Parts: sequence; structure tokens; C-alpha cells
Amino acid sequence: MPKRPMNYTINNIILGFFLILFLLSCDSRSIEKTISFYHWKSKAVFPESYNNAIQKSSTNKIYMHFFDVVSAKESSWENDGVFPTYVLKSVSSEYQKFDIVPVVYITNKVFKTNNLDIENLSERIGMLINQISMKQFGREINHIQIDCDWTSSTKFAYFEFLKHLDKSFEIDVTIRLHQIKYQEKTGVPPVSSGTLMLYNVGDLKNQNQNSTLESEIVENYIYDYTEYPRPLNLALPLFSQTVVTNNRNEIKLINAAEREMLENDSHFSKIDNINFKVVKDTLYRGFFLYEGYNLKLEEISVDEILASYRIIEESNLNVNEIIFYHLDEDAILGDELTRIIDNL
Amino acid sequence: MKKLTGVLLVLFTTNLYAGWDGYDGWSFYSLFKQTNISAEEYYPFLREDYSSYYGESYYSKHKFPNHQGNILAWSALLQNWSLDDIERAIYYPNDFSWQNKTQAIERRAKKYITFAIKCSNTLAFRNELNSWNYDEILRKERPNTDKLLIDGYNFLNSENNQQLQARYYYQIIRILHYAEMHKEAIELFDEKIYNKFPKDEIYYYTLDHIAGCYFSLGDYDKSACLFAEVFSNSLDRKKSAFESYNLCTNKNADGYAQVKGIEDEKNLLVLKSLRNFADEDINIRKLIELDANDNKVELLFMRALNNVERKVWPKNIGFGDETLPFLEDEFMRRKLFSIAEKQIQNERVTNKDFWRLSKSYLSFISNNLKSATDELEKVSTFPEQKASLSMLYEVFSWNELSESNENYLYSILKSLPANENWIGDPDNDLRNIILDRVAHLYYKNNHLAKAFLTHNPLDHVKNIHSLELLNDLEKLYFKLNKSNYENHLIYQKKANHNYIDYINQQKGIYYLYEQEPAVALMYFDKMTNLQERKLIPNTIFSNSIMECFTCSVDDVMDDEVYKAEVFSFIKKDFTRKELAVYLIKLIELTSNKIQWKAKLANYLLANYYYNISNTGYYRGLLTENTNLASGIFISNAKTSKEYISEKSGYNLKDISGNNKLQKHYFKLSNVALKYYQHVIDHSTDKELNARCTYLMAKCELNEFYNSGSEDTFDLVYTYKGWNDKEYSAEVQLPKSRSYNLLKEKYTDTEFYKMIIEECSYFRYYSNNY
Repeated sequence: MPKRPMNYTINNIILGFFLILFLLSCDSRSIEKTISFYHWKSKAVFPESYNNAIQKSSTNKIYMHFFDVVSAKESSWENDGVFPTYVLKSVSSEYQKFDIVPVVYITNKVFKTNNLDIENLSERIGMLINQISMKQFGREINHIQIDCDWTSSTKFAYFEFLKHLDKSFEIDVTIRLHQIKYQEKTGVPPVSSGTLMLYNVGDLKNQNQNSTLESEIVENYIYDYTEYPRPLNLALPLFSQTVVTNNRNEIKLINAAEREMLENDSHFSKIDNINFKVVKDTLYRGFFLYEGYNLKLEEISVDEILASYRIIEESNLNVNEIIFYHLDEDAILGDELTRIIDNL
Repeated sequence: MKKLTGVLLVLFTTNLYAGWDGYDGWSFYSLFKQTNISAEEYYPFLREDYSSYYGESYYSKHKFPNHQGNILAWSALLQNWSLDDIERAIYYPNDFSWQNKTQAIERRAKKYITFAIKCSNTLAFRNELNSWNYDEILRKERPNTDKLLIDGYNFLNSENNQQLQARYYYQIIRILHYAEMHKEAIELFDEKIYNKFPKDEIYYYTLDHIAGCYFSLGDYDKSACLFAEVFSNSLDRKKSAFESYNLCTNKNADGYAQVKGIEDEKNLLVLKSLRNFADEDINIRKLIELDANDNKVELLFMRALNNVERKVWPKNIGFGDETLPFLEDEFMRRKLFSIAEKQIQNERVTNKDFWRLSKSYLSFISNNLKSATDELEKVSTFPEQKASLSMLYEVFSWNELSESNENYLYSILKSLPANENWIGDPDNDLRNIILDRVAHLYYKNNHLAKAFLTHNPLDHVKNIHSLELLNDLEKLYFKLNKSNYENHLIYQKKANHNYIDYINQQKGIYYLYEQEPAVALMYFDKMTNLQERKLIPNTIFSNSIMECFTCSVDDVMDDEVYKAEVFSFIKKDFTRKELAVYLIKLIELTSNKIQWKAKLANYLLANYYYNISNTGYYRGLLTENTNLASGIFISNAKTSKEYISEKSGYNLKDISGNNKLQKHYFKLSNVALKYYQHVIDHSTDKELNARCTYLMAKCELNEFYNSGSEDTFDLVYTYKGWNDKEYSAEVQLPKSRSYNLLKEKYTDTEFYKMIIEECSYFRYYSNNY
């Protein structure tokens, strides 16, 4: 079989065409272990477990979720129906000493809004960020992160939005694995840096796979020659979750994995190490679960985090900072976090 | 010669992407109207694409009021008023005049409405959830409601009409609730309202707030049960009660501990069932067991049926593997069919037509057209739905299209005009699925032209390069006694060209790519009146050392051999027909006894074939594409031509609108390479031969990009990123026979000295291989 030029991926063919310009040199880079955390709750409390995690990682920066932007209503003559939700309501005084990076999550659907006034949207978002920054932290904050899983159909609106917002803020945007691999199609956001989200990478429906993070999945997207024309931070998961599959093969997520409870509750029957079947109807964490539903535990694994990290490290991605998702009582913030940090 | 450092930039196919891109809009045909259910008050719980419910656009489009219960209650009090007047007086007070409303009850109604508006304005902070103002979001400015409460009690004490009293109580309880005086609100309700006022719409408005008070006090189970009661009995508060009930379940309270009878059980069951994640089949059966004639059975059934439609009627299949219907998952389909059948047989069920219609439709989905048609005939109501299903059944009963079928098709398409404003509008679903189906029949029965034209304008044929399709398009044009539909296809407004001229032009272009200019000329000669959008420049016979698609012709095409006197027949710009003539002349010249003429004719032909190859500067120009860098010309995906020849896929929808399906690889760099070799064979000019050898290396690279190579090497190179940092990357490249020759035979030429200086890649190659 003749060899295809590097499996014929788009990246590689483009690299091939760059050949006339090439200059031989070596470039070995290592990731600086600057560590930060996401905070993703509307009430920012500061329990001891957070304090310990922050101490052991010498963190001085928190990526704090300020609000989501969603299509709350359909657009009308009155407004475009786009509004903030899950807004940060209160912040403990302990956070004042940190470098705060406001994070705003925008649903992809927002950029499909009819006649969306993009400049106005960027102004509204900028203004609300400033209001929250002043009220909660008593200062203006210049560096922000925008989180949006844009697609090829929304990239023009999204990128236009970023260009407007870029006039007022230094912007970091979240990048998904597919946006690295298929960057020619999804485009590269017109901002100075990005954060590669190394979680929620897999197939929630695959009952043998931990969709939160498996290094095998990362390998399918990031190769040793993978590059991206922006410096990146790397977001790593510290959370576990439960994937519920109903009898129509639809899925919902529960933001915790309670193995002990499932193993000892007669409503559930253990199928294998990660899957449980519902054997009797029950209401569990706000979900009506019916007989036959499947619960898949997706518990985070330190080994998988480290293996995935190595794949990124060995690529040509220019990675600077590690951001852990997220400060939460259910997240792994104890000894396992220490092990992760020691091995980064 | 700085041009040598230019970069060959080509954008490439997207053919490897799959499965991750979001889809805009509806992805399935919805053919069974959800509003076929009998209980209009449950329309808000029908499904739309993004959520479980019909959205606000539905209300504005269908004018279904979400305060119908309140208006009906008012009409019992203001008996001489029209519903429209009542609605304006309450919800659009600025558009309403009380001038002639002078009766005592009207004056008291006005007094109450004025108070109610004042309450709404004062309590508006509760509704300011949608705000971009942080203070509003934090609800810092909670208003003082003391004065409002005093007014409310005073007005209540001076009122003796029971409904108006109930309304004042409602306002007072609303104030207490929002003022977080939850216990006081509950006490007032228990003392003064419960069992003392009729259980009408106003009562359930009030109960909605009491349920909220229980929630705030942490009695989630009681709250859940009351929300369920509101959900079941109020006309206007169903959706909000449902959402409030869900908040209770988040607190692990489902209200079952409070169940007192079958009505409570039904309410809770329906509330559970409306959750997206519910087991629809089990819940429908449970509700039927409780009360088969409850109109909410239709609601739950309709939601489940809509879910089935999402799977069986996929849109935009084209060359995909799905079919219409797509029957991969039959579990729910069978379950629903069985439910419909039992409901028809159940003597307690009164709305038989709904269930007959459903059974008929489910039979149709299962490809049982006989049963579908028989059942549909028994339905005496639902005239619109019956008519649309009849059309569908007729079209789906065809295995091929006779002339009378086509005439019928033409007539029904005229009765179903397309909404051109938004192609994804569900109103187009019936029309579009019919077109999908007939295009499929044409395709499978080898009527390629009709399959193609059903979904594509004629000029989308240009990048398909299927002679089979072109011949069928020609055959359709010359067919005698065409049906109405065939005439419609040929003369539809989207065709911008004289049909047969365009086919002849495309055939000519087809043969140009097949390197048969004489045959191409034959077809170009048949054209009578077709203006070419873009002429061909004479630089198509030039060549370039530099590769830069975004550079201007003058910067790139620096070879001027084509301007020699012997080629004076080549005009500056020319048509494709003239191109065919020139190619014929050049081919003749390659046999010329005067060697230099033969040599240069080979040289021009080589340049031409490389330039129109899929990595050449003029790639795509013959099909009237541009030669800008935005073109996508390398792909290892199966082309639409190949799909067509295999008859694979469902139909030819949008085959040409998809770049990845276009054919751009004709192995023309191999042709160019042979002509360059002929030049060398005829030439003693070492400078020319060195240049030809270098150009042959470009041809080899083209072949590598398209077909790969067994003899490659890995190259690590560095480049500067956007931030001026240096990055390294590895790329696999082919060993080059021509580079080796250049190095072995032409080091003494000026061309070699120039190229080794300017081209870093060749320099690297030369040093290492």
C-alpha cells in the first residue's frame, strides 16, 4: 500500500505545502506548571478544602464563572431574547486576594439568533462583567475568558463578537479538542490565547468509556505534530459524574458519582464496575428513574489525567498554564490532587 | 527571484469531518400535526426542536392565549363585554377606554384592575429575571409592600362580589408571598379561601402562590402536590406549575406522599411524564389504566409520536445511508401502534378519530400502506391532516413514476408552494418529503436527470463531471411528450442558462479534462448562444517556479514562451471552444518536423495541464470557478460522480452544493509530466531542461498529494507562529526522481544555481538525499 501523506489529514497536507518555507531547527518546550482553578458556582464560598487545594498548588489565580449567556426567549421587536443567567451572586472575602479571571459561558444557540446585534451583545456582556467586577471585587478586570462550543455554522458570528469584545478586554477563549483537530473548518478565534478543555472529551453513550477524560480519546485528536496558532492553557478535570441513559437511549448527567450509595440501594443493580441498572422506579437527585435505565459512573482517574497531559506535553501545542475544573466539595482536592500536581 | 520563496497555499477538503458539527434547525420531517390533540390548553407541552414545549413563536403565530382562563372568569362577571374588550382592559390597559363602562360592577372591576396593575408594577422585581443590570439581577431593591397590603385589605372589605373578593385575596396572597410572609399567606388561605370560594381559575392562581409559599418554607412534598393540582386544573398556569413542580423534584419531593385519590395520581403521573427523560410508553399505559378517556393520554401519546418522527423521517439524506422512512428502531413505533389500536377498541374512549388517525399514520410509517389507507378512510374529522396524509400515502405507494403520477405530482406541488424565506420551515415538510421520495424513485430507477433536477438547479452539474448524468439530462431535453413535471424541471426558474447550450458546454469541458479536445470541440460547436462567465487567459500556457495562489498572475506566471511567434494564434483571452482549438493545434505541432516547434508545443501543453491540475494556479478555471486560494481541490473522498455510477445513497439532494463531493482530480499532473519529458527528449537546451525537470518535481508532488507514495521521508521544519515564536512540525514528503536528476545533471546551469539559492526545500533535499 502506498503511504498516504500523513494519513491525509488536512493539517498535514497544509504542512506539506509549507515545505518551501521550512527552516530546520529543533524546538523543545516544556509546560510551566502555573496552576489555577475554575470556580463555577453562583455563591462563591471558601471552605477549608478549597483553601488546602489552593495552598498545595500555590495558586494565585481563579477563573471565576460570572454568568452564562443564553437564548432565554425568542427574539422579538423588543429584544433579541439573549440574557444572562446563573449569575454570580455573592463572593467570600477570601477571594479578594486572588487574581480573578471572569469566565462567561455563551451557548452556541445565542449565535444562531435572528438578527443578532453582535456589537450590542459584546457591549452588554462587557458592561455586566464590569458591574460584577466592581461590586464583588471593587476593581475593573481586564483579562476574561469566554467559553463557547462554537461550530462551523456560528463561527463567523462568534468571531465577530470576539473582535468587538477584544476592544475592551484581553480575551482567552475555551477550545475543544475537535476545534484543534479540525481548525481549518472551525476556524481559529481572533484572540490572543485559548484554553484547551481536556474534559468532556468522549462519548457519553458509550457504556464502556469514561467520557470525562480518557487518554485514548485524546490520542485521536492530538498527535505529536499537532499545533495551534495560539498559546494555550490546559483545563483538566477534577470532577466525577453519573451518566443516566433512559430506555430510549437518551442521556442526562448527574454532577456526582455516588458509588457507595448505588452499591447499597435496592433500587439499583450493579452490572459491571461502572454500570448500574435501575430495577425499581425511584426519584434520584431530581430525576425520575424507571426500571431499565442505566447509570454509568464516570469517576475521574489520576492516571488518565496524567496520561492525557503527557499527550499534550509531547505535542507541538504551546501550553502555559494548568487550570483545574473545579473548586467543588465533590471534586478531588485532597491527596489525589497532590499526586497530579507532583507529576505534571 | 525572491518569488521563489513564495508559499503554495491550498485549502483542502473537509471530507474527513464527521459527526461533531451542530445542525441548525429541524432535522426531521414532522408530518403529523401535534395540534391534533383535543385539549388546547396542553399545547404548551407539545414538542419543538430545542425544548419540550412549543415556543413563544408558536403562540404569536397561532394566537393561542396564555391567559384564557382569567379572561373567561372575567366574562362571567362582565357578561356584556366581549372577550376582546376584557383582554384589552386587563392586559393592554393603554389601548382601552373605560368611558362608556358606567355600571356599578364595571366601576368596581375598574377599581380592582387598577389595583392589580399597581400590584404587578410593584412586584415586577420578581419578573426581572431577564436583565442585563447586575443590581436588578441581585434584586437589591425590594419594594415596600405595606401600603399595598393595606389598600388590598381595604378594597376587599368594601367588596361584596364573590369573584372580586377572590381576586383581592389573590392579590393579597401574591403580595404576602413575594414579601416572603409565607406563613401569613398560608394562614390566610386556610382561614379565608380554602373551601369558601369556588375552585375556579382565580382559586388556582391563588393556590399557585400557596404552593410557592410551602416550597419556600421547605415543605416540598406539599408544594409538589399543590403544584400538581394547579397544573391539572388551571388553564393558564399549567406551564409555570409544571416548572415549579420540577423544582420540587430537585429537592427529592414528588408529592406522592400527599396523594388522596385517582385525580391526584393522574396529575402526578402526567407531570412525571412531561419530563423529557421519562419512560413514555410505561407512563401512557399507566395513565390509560387510570383513565383511558383522559385527554392527557393524547398529549403524552403525541409527544412520544413526535419522538418517533425524529428518527423515522430524517432530512437531507442525499448520499447517506438512511431511508424514508428510516426504520432502524421499531420499539417505540410498535408500542404506540399497540396503544392506538387498543384505544380504538376501548369503549370508554370517545375521541376515536384521533386514535384512528394515529393508527393509520403509524401503519404508514411501518410501510403498511394498505392498512394506513383503510384506517384513514374511517376518519371523519381532521380534514387537513387527512388530506396531507392521503397525498403522502399516494406518493409513497409509487414504485416508479408514470406520466400520470408525474402530472399528479405536479398538481400537488402547485398546491404546496414552498416557503422560500426559510427552507427549514416545518410548513415545507410535506412538500420536501414528497420531493425526497420522488427523487429517490427517479434515482433508483436510473432517471438521473429527473433525480438531479428535482433538488438541484441545472448549473450545479458543473463540478460533478458525470457523463452519465449529462447524457441523461440531454435525453430528458429531447424527450417527446413530456409530462407537466418534466417540463417544470427543465424550465424551472433556477436554471439561468439555455438548457441544451449549457449541457453541450459541460460536455465540452468534460472532454477537455479527459484530454480529448477534438471531442470537446464537437460539443462546443453545438452551442448556439451561451455567454461564458469567465474567459481563459493566455497565461494558462505559462508556468511558475513560485507557488502562490493569492498572488496576481503577473507575479506568478513568469514564463513567456507562449508569446513566441509560432503561437501567435493564441489570443490574450479566449473561450473554452477556442481553447479546444488551440489544444488541437498544439498537439499537431508536437509532431512538427521542426524540432524546436515540437519541443515548445510540448512545453505549452505541459504547462497547461499542470496549471489546470488540482494544485495548479488555474485549477477549476475551466468549470468557471475562480483560481483564488479559497478553492478546495484535494480530496480522497468519494465523489458524487462515483456515487452516481454506483447508485448508492438515497437521492441526489444537494450533491453539488457540497465541496467534498466535487471531482477535481483528473491525474493531469501525470499528463503534464509526460509532456515535460517530451520537451527534454526533444531539447538540447540545458537551461530549459533544468527548468522542466524542476517543474516535473512539482508534478510528482501533485501526484503524492493525491495518491500517496511508497518512497517517502520525514521532514522536520520550523516556522514562525502568529506571536513570532518558532514552532516545529514534521511532514511526510515523497522522494523526488526529478530533484535527483536536477542535482545529478544540471548543477552547471544558471537555473540550478538560482533554485538552490532560493528554494530552501530543494536545498534541504539536495543536501540530504
